[in-house]
Amino acid sequence: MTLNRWQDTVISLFSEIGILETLVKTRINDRRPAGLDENHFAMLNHMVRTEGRGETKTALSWNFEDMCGNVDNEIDVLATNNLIVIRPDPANNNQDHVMLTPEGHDAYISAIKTLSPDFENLLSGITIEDLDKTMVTLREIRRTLDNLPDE
Amino acid sequence: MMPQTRDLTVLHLFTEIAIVEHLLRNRHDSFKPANMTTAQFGVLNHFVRNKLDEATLSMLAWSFQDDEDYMRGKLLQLSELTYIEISAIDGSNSDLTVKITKSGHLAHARALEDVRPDVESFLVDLTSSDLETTVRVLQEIRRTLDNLPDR
Repeated sequence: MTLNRWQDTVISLFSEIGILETLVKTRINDRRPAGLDENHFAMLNHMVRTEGRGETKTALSWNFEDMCGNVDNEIDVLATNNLIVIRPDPANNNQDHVMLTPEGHDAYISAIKTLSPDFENLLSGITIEDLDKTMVTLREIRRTLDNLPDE
Repeated sequence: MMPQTRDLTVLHLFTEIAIVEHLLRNRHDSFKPANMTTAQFGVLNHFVRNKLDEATLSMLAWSFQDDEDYMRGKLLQLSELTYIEISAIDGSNSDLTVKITKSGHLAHARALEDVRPDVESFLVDLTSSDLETTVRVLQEIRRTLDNLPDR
């Protein structure tokens, strides 16, 4: 039983995405850069990428598609370590607003520095054009998936 | 000190990969094509993509960076679906031989066909060339990661 070219490309794409995600996640959990596991690192990464605006717990749960209270636990751990701060949301006192602290930002930078030697050779041999095309493709898939109606 | 551009590029790439993987996994798990979760489909996909008829539990666990008990659980579920056959290995207390069955191949093909309309809808704006470049870039990065000495 053989796959046609379209199937082969799509399966290869999704398989590579799945494998890479596992490899990176495992590496972060093994290294624990700045004492962070992959979930905590992902949370700080998200907060830095959203430029420190901060978000409500509900918005964070939605962004991480979390339905099981995992985000709550991660937030509590990060807050206990003073890497984020939880305050009442100015727009709605019934909601908690979560912000990155300067210590959280420093931990994030320190984590990247720890991971930097691993990153060093990953992009060698890949042209800027191909890398750009890859980023655009992944973003396009992500945006489309993010906007699809739920099944 | 801010991280280097290279590190941020790698990080942005991995962030996109992690988000897309998460969205794809949730979507797949809500569809359950051919009655399989993403984790179960991943095992059959590993056999088909690598043109394997047979593997061992320990090899599969290594490939997926799962612990053996977790992989054993997935294999037992697939075995109950008759998509694989598992048998003990002489002289080993815990390892197993795993063979994909004809019904496993058919289930893999059926799952691909089940998700095809959905996948086509979210890849509609991307050219084959974009997808193939992305696969090539991700494969190169994955091979580098896979060959790091402490993998």
